[in-house]
Amino acid sequence: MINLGGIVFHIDEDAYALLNHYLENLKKHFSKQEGAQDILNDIESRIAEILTEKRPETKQVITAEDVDEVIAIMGNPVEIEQEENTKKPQDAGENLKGDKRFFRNPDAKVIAGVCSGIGAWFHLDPVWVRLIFVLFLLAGGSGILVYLVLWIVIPEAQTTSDKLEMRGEKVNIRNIDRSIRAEVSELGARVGHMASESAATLRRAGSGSGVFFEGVGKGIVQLLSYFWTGLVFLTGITLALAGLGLLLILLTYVFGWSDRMFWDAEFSVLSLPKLANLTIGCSMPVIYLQLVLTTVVGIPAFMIFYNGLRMVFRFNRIKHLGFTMFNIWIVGIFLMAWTGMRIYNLYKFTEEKQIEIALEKPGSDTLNINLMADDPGLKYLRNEKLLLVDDQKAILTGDHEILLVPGIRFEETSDSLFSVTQFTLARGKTRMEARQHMAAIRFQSAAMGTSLKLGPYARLQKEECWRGESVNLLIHVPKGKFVRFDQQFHDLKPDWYYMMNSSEESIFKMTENGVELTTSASDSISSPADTVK
Amino acid sequence: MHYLCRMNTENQNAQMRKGVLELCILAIIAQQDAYASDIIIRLKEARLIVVEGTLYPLLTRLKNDGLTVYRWEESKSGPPRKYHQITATGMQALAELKADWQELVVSVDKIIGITNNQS
Repeated sequence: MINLGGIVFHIDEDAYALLNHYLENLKKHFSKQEGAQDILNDIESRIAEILTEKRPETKQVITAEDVDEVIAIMGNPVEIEQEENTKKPQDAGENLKGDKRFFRNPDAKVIAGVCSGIGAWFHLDPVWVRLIFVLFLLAGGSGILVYLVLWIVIPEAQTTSDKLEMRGEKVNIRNIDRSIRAEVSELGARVGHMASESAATLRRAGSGSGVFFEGVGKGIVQLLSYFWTGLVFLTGITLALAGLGLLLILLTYVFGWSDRMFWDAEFSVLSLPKLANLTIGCSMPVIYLQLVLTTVVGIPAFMIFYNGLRMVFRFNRIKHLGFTMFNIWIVGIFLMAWTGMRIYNLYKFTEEKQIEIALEKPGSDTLNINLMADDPGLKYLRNEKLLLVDDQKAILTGDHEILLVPGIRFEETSDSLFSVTQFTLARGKTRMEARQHMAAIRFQSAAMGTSLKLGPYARLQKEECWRGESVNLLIHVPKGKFVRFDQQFHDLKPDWYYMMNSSEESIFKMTENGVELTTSASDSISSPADTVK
Repeated sequence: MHYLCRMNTENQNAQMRKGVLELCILAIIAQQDAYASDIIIRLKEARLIVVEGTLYPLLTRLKNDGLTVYRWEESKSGPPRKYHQITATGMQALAELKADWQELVVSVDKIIGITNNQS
């Protein structure tokens, strides 16, 4: 049973399927037009009328043949399209431009018909396209992402006319040229008009060169059209590639795909999940940050890619895509503000502690800085990678322990005595929490004779996130006196601590211009002698 | 080659007919309020359309452009029918289209040289 235009018909299964399919096709066909529902209602009423004429007694069952007849009378969407003249001017223009459009082919699909759609576009057997995708799949899996993006971006060929357009004509220079010619026709007409006007003027002047100028005008139009073709195509390719590249870089960073690939590189860029796990990960899910970055940066990148693809393949705009993306983007912006507030709150309170490290012989000429002999941090020497988190140097051990590299600064003092101040700093959600974080920092230092022993690293609690902790040493050096870093520091990476030279030990002298590295050993030997009084 | 040529003239023919469809529909409705089947019969007689599905989008567009309005009328057999009726704007548009058509016929005849005899 089926209800058409308010009348109920008895209909057999085949006929029902056929009629339903036909009406669906019509619906898709007219969906682009204004008043689509009106048109469909009218057609349904008319079908009801034809069927009533054929089967005056309502008990009789409608068969597939009846439906075939109805379709022959009403026409299928392709026939209707050939006959009707309802397209708006810009639609007609689009028809002229693109003899074919990019579609996914639902009739020959393995997953979503992307490959067979591409095949149809390039007149290739889809097998080759699939083979290329599989190759990309093996080479790092990038094929999956490309496939997914194409799946989203390319519409499916649903109606017969879509499928015809999908196959279209072979892509060759002439067709590209023709499609572009339509775009520049307006421009061309204007140039041509100008050319012929000037030609007319010249002809009036009795010169045969008018014809020549007309020729030149046409040539220019031709050239412009070629130029424009190339320009649109190249811009499209550039945009598509740039957008795709940006997307890939972003996703790699946001989801940490790079960690395995680039972790061994000389400078290590921490991926977002790694970085977030080391910082905010203890207090909020990393997924928030990933979502924010994916939407706020990813959507513009995707739209660049999409529009680039459209310029190259000239497929129709996907309905509501831009609008939807924009809305998601706005939501992303709000999420970003919210996440930002949360992160800010994690680091809201700062707690700082200053302690004076009492030297045994602050009046000596040279302060020797040695490494603490039994510090657990000595396990981690030069094999670890240096990270920079908010200006604080740190390393990440294999056990996911964060070790802070203490910062060392020198300042001149008018006093004749050395003095060392240790600044310890930490942040937290509350003052209390900041204090706890600070208390958890373990950094060893000790003064013995003329030397100051330092642990190589300040350690946080294991599995703990970095909450703005830092350890800095301020060493006051009397003018003309020396600071000597023990050669042990060269077992570590020297520039982690201070700008040292590559020699065995590094000696700095406090001069009028601040500390300066004394290069030669003789300097360092003679200098203390000089300053002895 | 022959096949291609035939395709082309056929296409041209269809293009030409497309252009005048609206004028004809409007003219039919102007003579007498009509519902879709009446219009279809007239257009089919004149061999202006082949499939009926073509007509409905055009009727909808005429209505949306304010050239026609419609009313429902009960039918003895089958569903109620939409009777289309021309508006004042529609009459005006029809007059303009008719004038344009006359002009076009005159101009084209002048060029292709058809007199009263058949081609």
